[in-house]
Amino acid sequence: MVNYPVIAYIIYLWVGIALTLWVAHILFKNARVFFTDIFGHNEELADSVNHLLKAGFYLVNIGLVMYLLEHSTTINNYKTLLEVLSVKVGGVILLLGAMHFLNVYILFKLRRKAVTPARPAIANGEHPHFDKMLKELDEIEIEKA
Amino acid sequence: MTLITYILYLHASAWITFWVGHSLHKNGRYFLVEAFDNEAIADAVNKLLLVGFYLINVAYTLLILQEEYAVTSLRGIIETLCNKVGLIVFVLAMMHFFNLSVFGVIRHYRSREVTHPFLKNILKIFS
Repeated sequence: MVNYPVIAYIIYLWVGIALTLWVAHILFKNARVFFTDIFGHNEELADSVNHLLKAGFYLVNIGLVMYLLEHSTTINNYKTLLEVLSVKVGGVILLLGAMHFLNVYILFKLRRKAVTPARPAIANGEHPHFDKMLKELDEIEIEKA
Repeated sequence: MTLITYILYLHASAWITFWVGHSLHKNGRYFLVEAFDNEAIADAVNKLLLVGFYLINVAYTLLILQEEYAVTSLRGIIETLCNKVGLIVFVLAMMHFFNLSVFGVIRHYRSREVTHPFLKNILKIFS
């Protein structure tokens, strides 16, 4: 007799982990350029941060893939196996997509912050991120455009 | 069956603890050197972080070892194992990002004049 639930789990784990490795590989191969920009062309620091974030990406994704493995459906034929598997794998791919876009967003934001001119120091006890400073940044943007 | 699960679980988490700790120890060194601008301090902090990482991880692993439901099949073994190991790995990830953000903040403010009173006090500890 075929042990369907175990087959489902093994395929799910395999696909989940392989996809995580693949997405992380693509993402952090291309993130390196951003990090060299962000850290002012300090290649060694860029590599270090890249590796650390890659490890974090692996941990989050593989952790969630394993944690969300369990399901309560009774599987006794290939039809149910396929249905359960596609729901599970679809969930993993959505998770990966969300993580990927979060990473890309953070990279763009950091790079933008590093590339725009330095903000003036805090003056008259005003908070740096509101009122005046935002207006000044807007002016810089307008001048650039 | 439950015993087999426990043995597999301990094995898996010991391996993960060692491997992740080693990898972060190796790759995080330069990040710490940048954060503290001092190789000796960075190496010391790196070593301390590694030990802390091992301690927390081993403790957490042992704390969540117990399974209240009887494990009776291969399916049960996989479910229990993945549930526990997945939780450990996820908690590790959160710890890792917390550490990264702390050292990122230290690195950021080391080269700037800090006027915020709370941050000033925090940074006094590290300088």
